[in-house]
Amino acid sequence: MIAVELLKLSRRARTWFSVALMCALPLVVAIFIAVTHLAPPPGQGSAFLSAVLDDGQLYPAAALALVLPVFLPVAVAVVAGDSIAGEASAGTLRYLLARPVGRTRLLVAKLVAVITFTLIAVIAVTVTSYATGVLILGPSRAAAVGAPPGGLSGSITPGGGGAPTAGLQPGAAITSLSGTPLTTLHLAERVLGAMSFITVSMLGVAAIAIFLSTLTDSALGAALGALATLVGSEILVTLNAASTVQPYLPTRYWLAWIDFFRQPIFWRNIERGFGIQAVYVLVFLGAAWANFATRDITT
Amino acid sequence: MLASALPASVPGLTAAQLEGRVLGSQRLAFSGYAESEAAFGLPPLPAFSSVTPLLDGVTRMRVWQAAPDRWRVDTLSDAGEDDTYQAGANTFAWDSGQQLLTAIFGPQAIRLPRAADLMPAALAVRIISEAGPDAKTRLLPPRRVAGQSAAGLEITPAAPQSTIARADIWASPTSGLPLLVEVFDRGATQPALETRFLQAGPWTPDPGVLTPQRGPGTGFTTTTPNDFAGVLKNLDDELLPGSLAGFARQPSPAPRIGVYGSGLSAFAVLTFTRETGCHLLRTALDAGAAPLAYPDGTGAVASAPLVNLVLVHPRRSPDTFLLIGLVSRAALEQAAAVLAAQPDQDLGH
Repeated sequence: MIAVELLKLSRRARTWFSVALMCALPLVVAIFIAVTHLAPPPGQGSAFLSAVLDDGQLYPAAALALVLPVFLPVAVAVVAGDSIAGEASAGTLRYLLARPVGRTRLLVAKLVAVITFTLIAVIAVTVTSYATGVLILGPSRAAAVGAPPGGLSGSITPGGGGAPTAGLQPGAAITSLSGTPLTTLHLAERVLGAMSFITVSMLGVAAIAIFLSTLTDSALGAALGALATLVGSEILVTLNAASTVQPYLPTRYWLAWIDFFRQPIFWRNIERGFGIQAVYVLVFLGAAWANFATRDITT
Repeated sequence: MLASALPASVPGLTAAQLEGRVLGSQRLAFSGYAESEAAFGLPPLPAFSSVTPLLDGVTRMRVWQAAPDRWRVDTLSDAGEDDTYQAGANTFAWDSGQQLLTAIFGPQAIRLPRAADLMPAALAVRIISEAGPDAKTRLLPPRRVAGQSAAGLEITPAAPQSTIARADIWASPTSGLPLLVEVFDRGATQPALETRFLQAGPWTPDPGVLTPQRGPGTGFTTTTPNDFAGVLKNLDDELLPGSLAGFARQPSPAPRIGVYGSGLSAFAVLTFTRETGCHLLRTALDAGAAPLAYPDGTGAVASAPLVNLVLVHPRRSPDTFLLIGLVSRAALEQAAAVLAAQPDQDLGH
């Protein structure tokens, strides 16, 4: 059943079109930045975007920040919203369950397909944006104010005369948000961590959309319902008056993946982000299962 | 989240004992994550652009402290972070936006407020120290803060001129580490400034965390405390009166800054030269400060919870005075009237 759903997912042009669109956005942004050499000023614009002119290897992080607010959740909501409601509106759900296939198995297969789509999208964006960053924006170069030629990295002796005197790390590939050097291995670990976090964050969206998909025969309605939930959450996250409910909103910790790029890694919000998504997934998938398992299927 | 819902219970302590433990907590090695929230609404003066964000909105901070003079505080944002390392008398400042590490060698006698000042531990100790022995203290009911039971202490400054009506401090009853500080304006029921640890605990000092490091492509520069003082380095050496509005002038680490009053009822007078001062005054008026008119000068006043600010430009002087502090608006306006009538008298002349 899972194999069938994955095959269906892979054969849909929509799947690859949406992945291509998500990969295209960072590419277009990179081309504009590379041509104009105009990145957003530090502290403004999308996360990491101000630093990519100095270091193209950072572009996967910037690309994830670009697609996370809109493109990725929209794509996940559309795929997840279509999972049950799409079959119902096409009139195939009744026949699918008559094979016979257990409803729980079908729901699990649909969920696996949505998870696979999310993973493919996140990996595709990361890989293509790394290539984009290195090929179009170029590798790391020491361009900051006062940087010595060659961009030495190392620690400063606090009581010393101010020159980098110890801890030189020739293997350092990139600079963390905290200014400390990270090796390529460190960077890879952190990008993997960020990808995992973003994927799990999207599972919360998927769970809401799948639940709505079991309530209606309209795939569009289910997707829009999930997106309306996210937009409402985003509005409340910025509202001081809603501070008491903010820790429980689905989008509250979405940006916590940035904390992987601090040194030391700031785990607090990452842990909370994983935790709140786990709650949303459990609650909405449980509700989806309860509804789907007991629903009269007429279409 | 669940731990914060548990009931709080603390051992029996007197207010004086708790106060002593809070003051003694300065020597602790600890780490944590804290958030401060303030809504001062002061006009955004460009010269103080690093300060105004601290006084409006939420400031997210990570801290690691090995000793009072060996610590690191990171101010986090979704786009990066600004870090301060204190290493003895030297300070290192990392700006992720500029990708620049700045070393400031030597003690900073004067500096603008920074995020580290808003850490609950630093703010509580400062309030207790500045309130002085005449302040009234009493115990508050315990609360759970950062997942632990915290003993409460209310401090009411003795000085009636202070804008601070009271400060409530909750601290660990065992270590004395302040976990939550609320500062109330006069007549207010909600704190104007609240800073709390959301995560805090003892920490085994790690030099790797406390030592500033440079990644590839980052800049490094050194400077002196005076050059790092920002707008404070461009002050005129104006001869200031010995007292203003009934507040006596106190010795100041920077002779060009006049400090009047003491403790939690004090204000500072900064003298800016022609262009800087006029620009400050124009910006303040454009940002919504109320205009002031004196027989001998013009000015602007901005009132915020806890802090009042007056700018005054005497007609007979090229200078502009900035008065800012924890005293009432009326007292600052009275002091500004005296300065408006004062002829230009530089110390060097």
